[in-house]
Amino acid sequence: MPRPLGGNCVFKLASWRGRAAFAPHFSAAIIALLVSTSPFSLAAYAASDQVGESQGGDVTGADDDGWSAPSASATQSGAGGLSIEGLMYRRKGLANVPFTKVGDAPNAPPNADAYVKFFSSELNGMDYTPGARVSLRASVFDQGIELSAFGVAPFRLDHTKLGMSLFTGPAADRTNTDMLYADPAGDLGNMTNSDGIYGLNVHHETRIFGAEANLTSLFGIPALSLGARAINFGETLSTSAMDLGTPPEANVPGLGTGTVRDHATIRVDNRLVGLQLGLQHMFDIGDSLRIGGSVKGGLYNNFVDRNRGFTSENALHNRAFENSNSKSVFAQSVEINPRVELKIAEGTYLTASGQFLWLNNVSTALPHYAHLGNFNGDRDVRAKDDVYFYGGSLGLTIDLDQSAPLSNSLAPFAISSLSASAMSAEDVDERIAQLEDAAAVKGNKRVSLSISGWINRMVLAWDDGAERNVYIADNVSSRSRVEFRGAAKIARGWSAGYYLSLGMDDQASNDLSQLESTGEGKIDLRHSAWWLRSNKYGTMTVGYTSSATDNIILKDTGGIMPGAANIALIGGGLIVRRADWYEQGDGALVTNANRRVDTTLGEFAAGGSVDTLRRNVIRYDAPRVSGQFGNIDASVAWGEDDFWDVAVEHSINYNDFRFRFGAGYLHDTTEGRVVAGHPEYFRDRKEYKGSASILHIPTGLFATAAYVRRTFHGLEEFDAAGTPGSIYGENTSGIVTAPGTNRPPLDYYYSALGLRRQYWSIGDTTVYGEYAQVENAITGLREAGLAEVTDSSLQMFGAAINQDIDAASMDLYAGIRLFKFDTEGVQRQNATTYPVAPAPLTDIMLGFAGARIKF
Amino acid sequence: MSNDRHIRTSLLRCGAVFTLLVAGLLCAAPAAHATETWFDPSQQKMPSGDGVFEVDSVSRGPVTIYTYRPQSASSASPIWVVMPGTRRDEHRHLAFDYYDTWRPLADQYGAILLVPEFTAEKWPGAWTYNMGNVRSPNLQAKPWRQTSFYVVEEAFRLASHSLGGHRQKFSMFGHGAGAQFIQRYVMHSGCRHIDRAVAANSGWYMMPESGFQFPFGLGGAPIGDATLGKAFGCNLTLLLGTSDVNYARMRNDRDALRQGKTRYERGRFFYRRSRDVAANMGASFNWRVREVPGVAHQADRMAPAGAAVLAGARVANSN
Repeated sequence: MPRPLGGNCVFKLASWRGRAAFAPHFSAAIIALLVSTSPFSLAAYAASDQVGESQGGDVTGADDDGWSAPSASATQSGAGGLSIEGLMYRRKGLANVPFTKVGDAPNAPPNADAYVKFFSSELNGMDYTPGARVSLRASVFDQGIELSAFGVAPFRLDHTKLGMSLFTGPAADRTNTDMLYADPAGDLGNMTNSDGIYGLNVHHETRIFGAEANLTSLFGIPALSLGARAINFGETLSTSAMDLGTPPEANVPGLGTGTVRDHATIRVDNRLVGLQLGLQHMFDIGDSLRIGGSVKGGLYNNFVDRNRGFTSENALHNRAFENSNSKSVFAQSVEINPRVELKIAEGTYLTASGQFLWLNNVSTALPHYAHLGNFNGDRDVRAKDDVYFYGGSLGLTIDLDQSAPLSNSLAPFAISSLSASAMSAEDVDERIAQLEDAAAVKGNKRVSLSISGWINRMVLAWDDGAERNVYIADNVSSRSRVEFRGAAKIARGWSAGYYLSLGMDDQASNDLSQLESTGEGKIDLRHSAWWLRSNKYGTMTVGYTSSATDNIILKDTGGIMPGAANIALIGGGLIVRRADWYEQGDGALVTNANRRVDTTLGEFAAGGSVDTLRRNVIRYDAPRVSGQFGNIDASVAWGEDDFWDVAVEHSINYNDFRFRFGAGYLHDTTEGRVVAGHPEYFRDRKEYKGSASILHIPTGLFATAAYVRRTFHGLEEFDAAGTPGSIYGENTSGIVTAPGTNRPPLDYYYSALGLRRQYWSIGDTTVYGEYAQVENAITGLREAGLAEVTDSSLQMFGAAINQDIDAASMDLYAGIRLFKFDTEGVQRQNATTYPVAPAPLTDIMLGFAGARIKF
Repeated sequence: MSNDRHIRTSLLRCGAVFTLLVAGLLCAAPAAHATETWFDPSQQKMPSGDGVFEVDSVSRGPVTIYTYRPQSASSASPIWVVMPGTRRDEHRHLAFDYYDTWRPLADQYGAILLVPEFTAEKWPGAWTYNMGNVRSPNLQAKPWRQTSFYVVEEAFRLASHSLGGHRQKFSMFGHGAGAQFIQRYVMHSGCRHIDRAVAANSGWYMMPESGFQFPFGLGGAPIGDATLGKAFGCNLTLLLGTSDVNYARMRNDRDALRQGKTRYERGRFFYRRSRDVAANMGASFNWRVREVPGVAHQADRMAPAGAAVLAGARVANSN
């Protein structure tokens, strides 16, 4: 294969289907595949590969002066593929375990069988669930690759039994049912509500999602693939037992709302990370049908986490019965995907596939239930089970052509084929320019006005572990806005201008929550500032606008969703939910009694925005320093009240690479209240923040990372009892720590890794995975239902696709994000502080799809 | 925080803000000195020093022309037109950077400077500025008065009238997008009005042959042989920085890549092919290539060599 210019590495889209001249019949194709995969057939495949590449038409060649034109591979399209499929998975492999046993004294039944049995096999509900999978097949460094991610909604099973113990009436009718873990000699001492129970509800949930990156057609063997894969498989089992007591249970629907209930929760998470080897191929059967599929086997390290909790509602301190255990074991997987693709248009196929996925040596929740009584002694994560999922998929596969030779190409010139007699758009443009000019001219001086902006609306689906919903929201990561900009020349090298920007805050994606489906319905001022600029001395800006470090964490070369690194801006208003609570409705949300104070996803992610907020500032931007090393920009700002920050940015486009970097420091203080010269409380926090992004243009591979460290140095107001207020959130609650202790530093990490290419002429496509971690965002505070949080962590796993549509100045995007919370802290009841224990919270999953169109 | 420390901190903050404001005012002070003299070239003489006038007979609206007339300039002094590069948005005023770079060179060589400002707001993209706005998207030729080339010719005519004398020609320098402007102006105008022209570090070229589709060549948008022949006879220098080899963010359409990968390669390719085409036509060929060692895509560092060429000083001939 000829190389492109200057030995530049080729990014050529290729099909995972291989490029053999396929036999017309399936059986013959199988034979062809087997033959072709033998070592003796590699040359034949190499030859056929070249034939396939030249089908697009080689339009280049050596010029008459001997100069060689770029190769066809650099300029012509090859076929890659993008598949978007809806999934339907069915879960199998649920163990059959008991939840109850015969009760003991003082109401022991006449025989050992006089109790109501409750087995996991009786759980019912949706053991199948929908999901989605996105796969992209391309070629990097002449090597075929396949990137794929899938996720399904949680499987949920449920069952409730009532009237399980009867202590009156004829002896033969009496029953006494205890929870299986109710052992007076066991570690869980308070068995009041688990002993002689009236009713029991059992809830079981299964979660699975994953991603993989495979090298296809490895060693020139079209069917062979080798890659890395990560699968997250987890289960949660929760039981709620209600005591036989007052009020009269018969009058209580379900398990009622009383507090005579005990809740037990077992959660296991298996994070499988490893390698997989497989065979995958599609055979052309005629012009309109492709049949094939894949078989893959994987070997993984399974990072197993088990978390158990026990809560008695009328003895809150028993929530201290929480613990976690971790272990790493080997695990295996086998996946089989038979697939059929039917052409419905040129380059577009309707795809249907079967799904079978088997996981071995994983931990499931049910086998742990019998050991719950041995709460402190049992540390076995029991990663010995196997589970399997099966189902099908239906979707579209689109062959992608590489219409641009390299993705750093500037937009092509739009040469029109319109008839010469028609008035061209250019002519119209000319006329508009004339009219605009006639209106704008004012003597020798002109202040220009340009109006721009965009609408960015999305469908936002969320699942907090118990409740699901779908909202239509404004994507605040890049809020809908209308902007007015203008400039006027003052003198040679001097100009002045203004910037007014209004953002939509009517249905903000970070305001919506389980309890709030409508936004604030208002318009938000984003910028209102004027500036004075000198080419030589720099720019001074005064007004409500960005300070130096605003957007400094959003450097990106990959074309990820704008603002993606600020993760709380989508779904940040969602309230976290207690995982160890029976109540599956709003009652399990972490709010106070009047639901006015709550703990949200956004608070776990460093507050409303980890990016620096706009404010009234005086900002100075130094003139850009440019050279072969790229461009360097420096800025400093002072703002109310009192705030200052400084930032430096570097950008360079060097041959095959684009690199962006920014770093800054801010100091934000407020006097608070000063009495008799003595400050009673004040804010004083500092931030070190920055981001970097690099793109390798020929391959389209990019990496983006951002980091923020926020430290607290202020003082909070304390009441007469020594309880700190929450005006600025500078101090801890002072329960575990000494009163007046500053909160520990907050650390925020974000990273994205992906592929950006111009697969088709409409614009660049970016597919990426993202990961974020936030440490200690609420540590020290009275949050997450705890009197003082002693440790808090948020992890976010995401995958998304972003498609530019250049002709309409539009971005289409879709993605999923999974947020996991890890929190520990202390409970406080009746002036008693209980030991530090985990406070399990349910995962929050977001799915979003939307568009941003500019004007 | 003690009371003293609190007061001290507040004072420091106030001081910082005050300093920032004072610095801003001090920075603004030179603006008063940077003010140029507006004049009507049809009725007034071009002022000595910094001046400005407008070409207002333009369909897209008036184009501002910044002028500089050295004290030493005479009625016979040459007029140099300097074409700015690609970043032309109004608030950046990149034209001023070129102006500031070229003013001492104008002093040095006794030339009168014209720096037109084609703002991106009025002349968006390469099609209207670099490429002259000579054709519509369906490749129909536009009236000359709608082209950006017309603006430069009109600016010269007005300046020449203002200065008096009987100048028929001017010299011009452009870097990057400005060099593309000059290269195309030479070919489309047949070099009328041009004394000397320097196109420095152009990103890509309009090849003088139909094997390259417009705007990369004359395919689909021909120029008559007579005009082309005159263009080949023009005193055009392709000025190439030998370190201008960073090909990031360069146009790489198929016909652009055929010209080479870097600006340096494309410049040499354009020269060779143009020389061959001229030879085939039997036209005289007066173009030349000059290299500026060690300079990358830097307009300010290319300017001294460009000025020397415009002034007719000898520069090492690399071809």
